[in-house]
Amino acid sequence: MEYNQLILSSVLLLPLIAAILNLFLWGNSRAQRWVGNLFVVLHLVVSALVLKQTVAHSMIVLNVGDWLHGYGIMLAVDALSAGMIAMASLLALLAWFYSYEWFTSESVKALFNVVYFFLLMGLTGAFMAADLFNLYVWFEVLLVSSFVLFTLGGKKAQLEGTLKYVAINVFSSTIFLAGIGVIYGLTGTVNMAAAGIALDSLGQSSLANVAAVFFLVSFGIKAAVFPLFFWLPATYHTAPIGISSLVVALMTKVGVYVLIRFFTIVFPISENEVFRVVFMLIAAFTMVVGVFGAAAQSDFRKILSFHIVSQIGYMIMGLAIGTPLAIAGALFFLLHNVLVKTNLFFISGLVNRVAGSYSLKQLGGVLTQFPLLALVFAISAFALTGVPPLTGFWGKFILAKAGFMAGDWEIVTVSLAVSLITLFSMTKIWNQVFWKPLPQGSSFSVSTFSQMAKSYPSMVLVVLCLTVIILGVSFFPNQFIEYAERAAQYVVNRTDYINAVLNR
Amino acid sequence: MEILLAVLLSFSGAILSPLVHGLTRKRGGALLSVIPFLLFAWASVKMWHVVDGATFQETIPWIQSLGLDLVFRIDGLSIFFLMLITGFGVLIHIYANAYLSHDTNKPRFFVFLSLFMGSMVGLVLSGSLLLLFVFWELTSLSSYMLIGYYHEREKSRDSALQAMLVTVLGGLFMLAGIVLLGADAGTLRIDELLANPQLVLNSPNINIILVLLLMGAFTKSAQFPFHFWLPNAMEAPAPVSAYLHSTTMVKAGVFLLARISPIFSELPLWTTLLPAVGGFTMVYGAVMALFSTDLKKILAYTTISALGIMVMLLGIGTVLAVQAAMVFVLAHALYKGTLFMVVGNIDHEAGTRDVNQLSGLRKAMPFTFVAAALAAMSMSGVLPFFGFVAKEILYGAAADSPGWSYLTLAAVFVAGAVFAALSIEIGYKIFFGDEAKLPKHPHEAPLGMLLGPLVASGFGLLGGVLVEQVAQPLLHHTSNVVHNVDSVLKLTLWHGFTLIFGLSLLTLAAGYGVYIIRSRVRAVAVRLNLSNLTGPESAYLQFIPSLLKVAKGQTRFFQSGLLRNYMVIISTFLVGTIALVAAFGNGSIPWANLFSSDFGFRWYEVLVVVAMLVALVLSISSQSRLTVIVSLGVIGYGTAMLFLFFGAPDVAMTQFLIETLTVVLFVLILFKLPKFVDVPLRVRLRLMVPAILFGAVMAFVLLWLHQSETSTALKDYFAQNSYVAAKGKNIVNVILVDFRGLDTLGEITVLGIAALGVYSLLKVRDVRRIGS
Repeated sequence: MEYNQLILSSVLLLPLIAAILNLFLWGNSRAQRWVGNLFVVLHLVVSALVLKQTVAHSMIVLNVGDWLHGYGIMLAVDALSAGMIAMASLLALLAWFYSYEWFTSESVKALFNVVYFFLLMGLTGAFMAADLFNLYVWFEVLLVSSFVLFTLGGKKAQLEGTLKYVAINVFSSTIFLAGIGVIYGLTGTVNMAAAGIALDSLGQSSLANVAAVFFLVSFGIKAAVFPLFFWLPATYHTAPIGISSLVVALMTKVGVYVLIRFFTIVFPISENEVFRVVFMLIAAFTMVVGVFGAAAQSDFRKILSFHIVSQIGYMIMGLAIGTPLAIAGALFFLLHNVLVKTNLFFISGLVNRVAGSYSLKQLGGVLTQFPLLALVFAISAFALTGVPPLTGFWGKFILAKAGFMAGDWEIVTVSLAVSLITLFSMTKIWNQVFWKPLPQGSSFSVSTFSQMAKSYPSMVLVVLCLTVIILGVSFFPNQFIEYAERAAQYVVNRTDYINAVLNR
Repeated sequence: MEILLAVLLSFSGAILSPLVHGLTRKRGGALLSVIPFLLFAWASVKMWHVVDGATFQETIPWIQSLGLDLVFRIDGLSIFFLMLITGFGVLIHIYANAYLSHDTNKPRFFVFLSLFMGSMVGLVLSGSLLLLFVFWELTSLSSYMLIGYYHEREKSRDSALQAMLVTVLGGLFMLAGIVLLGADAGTLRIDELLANPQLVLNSPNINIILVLLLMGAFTKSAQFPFHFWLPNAMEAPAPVSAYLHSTTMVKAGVFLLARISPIFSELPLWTTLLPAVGGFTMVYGAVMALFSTDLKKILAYTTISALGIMVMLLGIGTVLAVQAAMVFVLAHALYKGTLFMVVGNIDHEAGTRDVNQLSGLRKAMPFTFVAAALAAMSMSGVLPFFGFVAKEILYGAAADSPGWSYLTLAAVFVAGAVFAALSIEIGYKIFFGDEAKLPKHPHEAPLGMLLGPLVASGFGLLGGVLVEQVAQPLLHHTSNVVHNVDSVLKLTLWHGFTLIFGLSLLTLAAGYGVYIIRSRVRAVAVRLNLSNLTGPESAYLQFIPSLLKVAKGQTRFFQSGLLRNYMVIISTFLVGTIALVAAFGNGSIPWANLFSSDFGFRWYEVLVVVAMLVALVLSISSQSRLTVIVSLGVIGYGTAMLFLFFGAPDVAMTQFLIETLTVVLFVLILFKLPKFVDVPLRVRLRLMVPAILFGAVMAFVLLWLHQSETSTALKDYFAQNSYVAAKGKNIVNVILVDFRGLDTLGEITVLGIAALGVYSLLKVRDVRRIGS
């Protein structure tokens, strides 16, 4: 087996091995922990190797079972996939350590240590599948493992939120499956590259359009776009926050990823006026409705949850504009959003740990008590709202530039207006949690930052690490933007991808 | 690298402040003033070269993929603002250290102050519009933190937010303008744009670009109708008002206008909009200042008025007007910075800022009085202060303006008279007369709080006396950069008895008249409720609650918490989008063929379908959970039968198993389930609509799909290879374990996880969770 194929299969199978090992170590949560620590690091290392290879060779293809190209299952990693995998892996590592201190019950720990890796496997698989049905399978893995993680502990409110999450996602899977059926009926294949060629030769028949709608809806639910985002805010009380923020952050990005993948490789929309309009509308409404949702909330986590929806709109905007620059903007924005939003969630978790609440009414005085935490929050919050020179600004800037250059000034206007309301809703948190004095009847469980760091060492460490990463990407974004541009170029000029997968 | 290092140095206080304050809590801020001092010294050296005609530029690669390098530029314009920023930086650092000496949050204050100073230094040194914007937004951010410094007061927090939202709103317009300009001109570098203004002028969007950029400048420099944030920003501590809101940040808009003036100043839009907005702001600010009795409000409104003057002058755009604008920037900074510090001293030591309460402070606060008197004389334009020079050239420019010169002169005269009146009030009235009874017993401020006002007001005097030696050479180069032609700036203190000198004297006389009647004017204003007039601010005040109202309403609608609503919306969206793309997409729908193909129903098929339909109706209408479960089972069995009829026995078997298990499991737990919730008939009927639509569309899609020929390549490949290559006779089995073995691995994993989930739900309780 070649080196490339070895690392590609490792990055998929490492989490599976970790999960199985931890199943055998059931009852010994310390040992499971160490296995986990080892494997999250290993996964990140191998992901980095994959990333490096795609930089050098532009694509790695694994033909599982070595059947004729396109007839068996193909796994394919291009710059886009490799970037997504590396990002997911990094986030999984951070969330793993962040969640370290959350559980006390032994059986919950045992379960978490196993299922977490199934989740990681599902994520990795989804980012490398070059086959629609295979993608469906990874979606199932993702859905079931996130269901188990969401219900850990089994409180009633938790189950209620998770039930909605599962019901909506099962509906999404059904629609996905129906779409696969239609595509198979039209093209006789479920391989994305082969289906792409076959659809080309059908020449944008109306039925192909209809088939694409199934994917739009199904993936749109995953990505939490308007008007399909309901599952996302419903999961906010599923907690623990380390897990819910990881799942929510990555599940939506899987959705965005498959939307980009499908609507460039299989069914390119850049020439398809109807779909461009539909995507533009979705992007605009997602941005607006999401940010309004955030402005209306008065709970730390809920504000952040609705923000995710709003920010997905920016990524869809990139896809809707459709030029390589726009998609690069969307991808950079995606990276920015994952880092910044996760950090904000993690910070809200820390605040919750020391102040015992997520409600803005009951919180306050954090700036006076923990200035360093306030600084860390402010960096991420202003990055989110796109204050230069932080990450969000670069994303916003690239998208605006791409939009103006493509003549889509309407969507640019919406995106800029939304960023003002985003600022407004983030200052709401800053105002109530950090500036306002601590209200009567509330108190902090620790009194200084160093005490906080002593009580929750790995949570604090993870938040600090993420902040450093955010600052790094903010001040030295060039490499990331260049990478995003290459990835975007590659998916927009789909022939290289298709030829590599089909070995033509 | 030199300029970059200077910019970095100007930010360094943000990191050093906690350390320095750790060393010496009392003198930390004063120690930090070394940073602006070094920068000021460096700027002075640079200035000598600039006066000799040099321009410095450096480029350090940064984000090449966006065409954004760290381009810095020192020319006549930037060096002038740089000296203003760093010079006042020194004074303000020392002043703030004394002003906040008892404040526990002092180190944090200096963090934000340094952040602000760095942003401002970066802004004026930027050699590219995008880089300028980066620093521009940072000034808004640091201003937010500084206005909200007393963050435990709600008013502070609200004012900080308001200032930021207004300036960031303008910033967003400006960003759009910059992006558009970059897209059309192909560059955002200032040297390239100045060298070749045609790059921009040829753009078809030129007027849009200009309006967008102006929005940024107008919000930042508090032009009507965006001015209202500035008086509210007076919630900030005095050093912040003196530094950000009179001498530097609010002039960033003026700086931007000066920067882009060589490109745009010939456009009719520029020469009409700027004088109109600036002129109106000038008069409006002056009148509002006269109506106010809070010293800080008076200063804020006169600042608005002064900013209006600068915008108006840049809009007039003649050589003389541009020179007047730059002279006035300096004069205003010197006297207004002083006055804000003076008012800070009075507020600090006497406990009030109400002009009606204050009087006779001269004895208690002699040095403060000296500074106030010097600054007030400069503000009113008395000989030989620098303010006089500025007023002369201002009148000259107004008289010389190409259109509307009488109106302009009259407006300037009104503003000048009000300025003079208020100068008398601040420089004379509150210091003379009887010693009033005040909230605090007034005494002189400490040395740290006197240094700033005395030095700044002293320069106001010196600048007038030595105008030909100091101000002229510097401002000569500054204004040459702004109007991009080489012309001579002639500044002298004494022009002789000209018409303009007469006008100057008349202004002072009118000012005295206004001073005499000010109380009556204020009384009238109070009676007409003019001083509390919110004006454009009411738009802001109404916008926020209505935004929240809309936001709450739409969120209640979409995030209703009812799963069935979510399902309805999702399926309706699916149906609607399919209808949309089918109707407007390419190609047509083969309606005629949909039902014409080979539909040969067999009787047993019909029987099964009828049974399923009956079960369906039952499951919808039943009130009993058991009936619902059994009827759903029947539907499932029917589906399995259909699979069987159409030659898929293996799929049918699987389906039978699943349905059986489901029914058995449900019946087992039936009595443990909570009460069956009865959904009202009305709701059920309403839900039927999307359900039927969804079903109809699915059927339609299937019928349509039936028209197309499916390629059999995959089937053929599986058939050919399953025995030969995979050694299996049952193709379905081979597909499952070999052709698509990875899928099966995934599905097995799903089952495994599901088993863990069941275990988790049944067995695992007790997890420590906080806060929900």
